[in-house]
Amino acid sequence: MSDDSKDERPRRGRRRGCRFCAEGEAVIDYKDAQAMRYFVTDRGKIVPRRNSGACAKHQRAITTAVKRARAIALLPYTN
Amino acid sequence: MSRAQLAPGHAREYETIYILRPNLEKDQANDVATRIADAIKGTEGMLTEAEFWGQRRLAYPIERHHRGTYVYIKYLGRGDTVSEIERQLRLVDSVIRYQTVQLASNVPLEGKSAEDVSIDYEVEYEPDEPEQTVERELGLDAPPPERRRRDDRDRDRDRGEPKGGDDDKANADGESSDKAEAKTEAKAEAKTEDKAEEPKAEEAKPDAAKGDES
Repeated sequence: MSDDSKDERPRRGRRRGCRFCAEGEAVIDYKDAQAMRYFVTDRGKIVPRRNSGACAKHQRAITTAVKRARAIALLPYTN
Repeated sequence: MSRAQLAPGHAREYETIYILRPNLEKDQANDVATRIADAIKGTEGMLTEAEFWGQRRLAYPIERHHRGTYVYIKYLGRGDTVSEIERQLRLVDSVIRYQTVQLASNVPLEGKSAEDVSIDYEVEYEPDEPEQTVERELGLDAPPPERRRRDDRDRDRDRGEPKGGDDDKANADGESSDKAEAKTEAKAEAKTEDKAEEPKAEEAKPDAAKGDES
């Protein structure tokens, strides 16, 4: 309950900031089926922002990319 | 993207991906290509890129096909270019899916020559064999998910049954203290029951674990 414990707990293994904002690292391209698998769970759902670590802008880009990839059968709607 | 009017001498950039039925004849694929080329020419567009991706496995079946031949094209044009291309794609039966995405608006057409990009179909088609294997795969792949669903529904009942079997055994043991013959009989019965139910219970367990994960 206490909010103090949150400050004490070290943030381990969590990268800060959006990895798509960091230039050159990863691009979101709906045509790259293999890379797109990274953005969906094994159930085929879009990975939420709290897990993907993307900023709002890039999460939107991921969402549209996943939906485009689904439309042309590069990604499944369900698994 | 922006719906603003196009400046004269400018165009928008689009890309279209279309999926052809697997195991098409080469000239059928070329027929689609020429239809698109004509559509672009007829609407003063410009084909800038064409890629033949070849056969790929579809993430889900489309019109009962599990594989499809992907073709990617990139072109400059206006809205009527897109509507004409999509109309042509709709007319051809061998196209099972298409999608157009706008990449950029207000691209100046000047300085860009209509260099003829021909869609390269010089990719060797896999013979009829793949479709056959897909059917075979289908036969193998289809049952497990179905079975799983059935198990999910009956999971609780399956779980309950082995428990019931144990109770029977306990009862049998209690009775057998009086009659030795009845004991052996009952035990044998219980064993056969257990044997019959064990595989069921084992089936249900992994599914239950899966259910917890998701």
